[in-house]
Amino acid sequence: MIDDKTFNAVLGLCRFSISGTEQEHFKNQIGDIISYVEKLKEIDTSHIDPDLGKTITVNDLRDDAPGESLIRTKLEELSPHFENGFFRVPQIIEEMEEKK
Amino acid sequence: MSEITRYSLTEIKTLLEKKSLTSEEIVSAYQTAYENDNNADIPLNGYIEFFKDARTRASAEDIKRKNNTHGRLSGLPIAVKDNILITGKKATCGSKILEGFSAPYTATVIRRLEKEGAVFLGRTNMDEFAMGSSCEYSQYGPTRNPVNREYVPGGSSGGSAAVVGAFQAPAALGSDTGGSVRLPASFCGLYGLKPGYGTLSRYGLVAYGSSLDQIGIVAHNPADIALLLSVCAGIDSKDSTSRDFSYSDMFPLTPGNLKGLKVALPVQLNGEGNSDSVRKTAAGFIDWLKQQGADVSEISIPNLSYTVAIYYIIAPAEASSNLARYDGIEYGLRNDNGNLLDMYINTRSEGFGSEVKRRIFIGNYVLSSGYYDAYYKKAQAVRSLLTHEFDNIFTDYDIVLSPTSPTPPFKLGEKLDDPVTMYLQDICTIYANLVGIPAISIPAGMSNDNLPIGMQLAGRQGNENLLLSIAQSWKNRGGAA
Repeated sequence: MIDDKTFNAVLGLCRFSISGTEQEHFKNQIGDIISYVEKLKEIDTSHIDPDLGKTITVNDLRDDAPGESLIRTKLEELSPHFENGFFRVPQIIEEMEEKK
Repeated sequence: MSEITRYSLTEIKTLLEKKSLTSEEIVSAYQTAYENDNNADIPLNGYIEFFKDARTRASAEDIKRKNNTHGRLSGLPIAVKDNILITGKKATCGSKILEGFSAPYTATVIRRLEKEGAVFLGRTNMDEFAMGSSCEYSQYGPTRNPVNREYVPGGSSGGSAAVVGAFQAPAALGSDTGGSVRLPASFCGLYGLKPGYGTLSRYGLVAYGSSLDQIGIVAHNPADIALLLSVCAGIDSKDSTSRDFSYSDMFPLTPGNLKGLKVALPVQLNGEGNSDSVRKTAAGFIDWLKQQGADVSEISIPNLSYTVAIYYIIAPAEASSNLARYDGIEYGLRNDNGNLLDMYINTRSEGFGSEVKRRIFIGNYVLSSGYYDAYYKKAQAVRSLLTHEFDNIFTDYDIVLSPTSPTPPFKLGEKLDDPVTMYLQDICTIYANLVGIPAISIPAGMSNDNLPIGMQLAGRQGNENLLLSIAQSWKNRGGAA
């Protein structure tokens, strides 16, 4: 089972929240999954190079030449927050100054 | 139900070539089948959207055929999983976070099909971001099994398999990260191929687990899969992991000669863990292989018992990185109540469903400082071991055989709240993704409750042709299909 400190630290990395009523259930499910994957500890891998036998041995890289890319009008269609070449987001600098 | 919708993709191709039918008539028949079903008491819910322009596109292909300017797939209808991009069409991955998102570019696989004249029928339902084995984790509600609607169709490409099984499409594209094409194919009584890693370009497939993801194909017939693969496969400069396998001569598909075929039967996937009906079906399939002259041997691959554990470290780790892009800034859902950090958290809390949140959490956990070596590095090491073991197996054997699933389809809601039990549903399929090899699910029998059971064949990298030709031999002998 994950302790509260670790749980909250990892949740912070996830950039989402779990509501108070759901948190215990979520934590139990995560605990079940982690307990299950811990069965890998049964295997001795001390002699294994993790890079051995990777499925990709060679990447096929394309020529370093300009190609088609998304044009600005398409970005505008994708987002109502795209204005004059920028994505509008909530204010950042002012928030930080207020906090000072 | 219209007789037209009963034809396989290759039969439709022949009928169009003979001018016995038009593509518009065929697409109309599928649209009617979909609309009638959607008004039924318990709809299938296989499509998230049936494209309004499908008939117009079919009619344009009819004109091309008249003018003799058509491609190899002219007028052939195909359904597409909701995580494969088509310019101008919505693509949501079954998630609220991509609600309203329209694709600004087209996947390579779609572009190749389109160039040859294929007509896309619609977007099919899926477990959110392809994370699930039952097609119940979708923002658009669960898809039901076309054979018995109390049961799940399998996931995550449940919508793709269900619409083919319910004769609302002759074939469909799905994606397979741990069994997501093969399991639904098995549960819906269809053929489902996960090509080897790199056989099909993933450009335009929304990423989940990048070292595991592959686009796959579901159909009533192995020849239908061969036809689509022959058009879609091949290297793509937009996917650096794509491989230079050419399958242009794969269609028409020749049934395989099984005499002398060396078949490995791993005891870890063919034992007591499987239900009685699955074991009975497997025994029947093995008998058939032997009658055809195949040499079937039991082998032991101890690390096969660990594939689910490896997968549920590596796939969530990759998912936690791939899904970091859904932050509310550039596209999709945005909840900007508060400052920038609040926006990220509110958007992702509201936009992601429970299973996606579980996997992102696990991914961040196994990659975080202090846990990386114990989980992620360990899983990669065991994966390497497994890959090496399969390299050795394929020096002695041509294919590896097991059931596709340890059980027949289960009822809706049965495993929804128990993630580990749901994950174990993929115990037979995951290894092919970890190792990167092609695998096919073949409809091989029915359970006592009259539910489909599939058998899975896996082969060497680049051996899709062998798998399909064996499947065609099975189909020709009148196997359950």
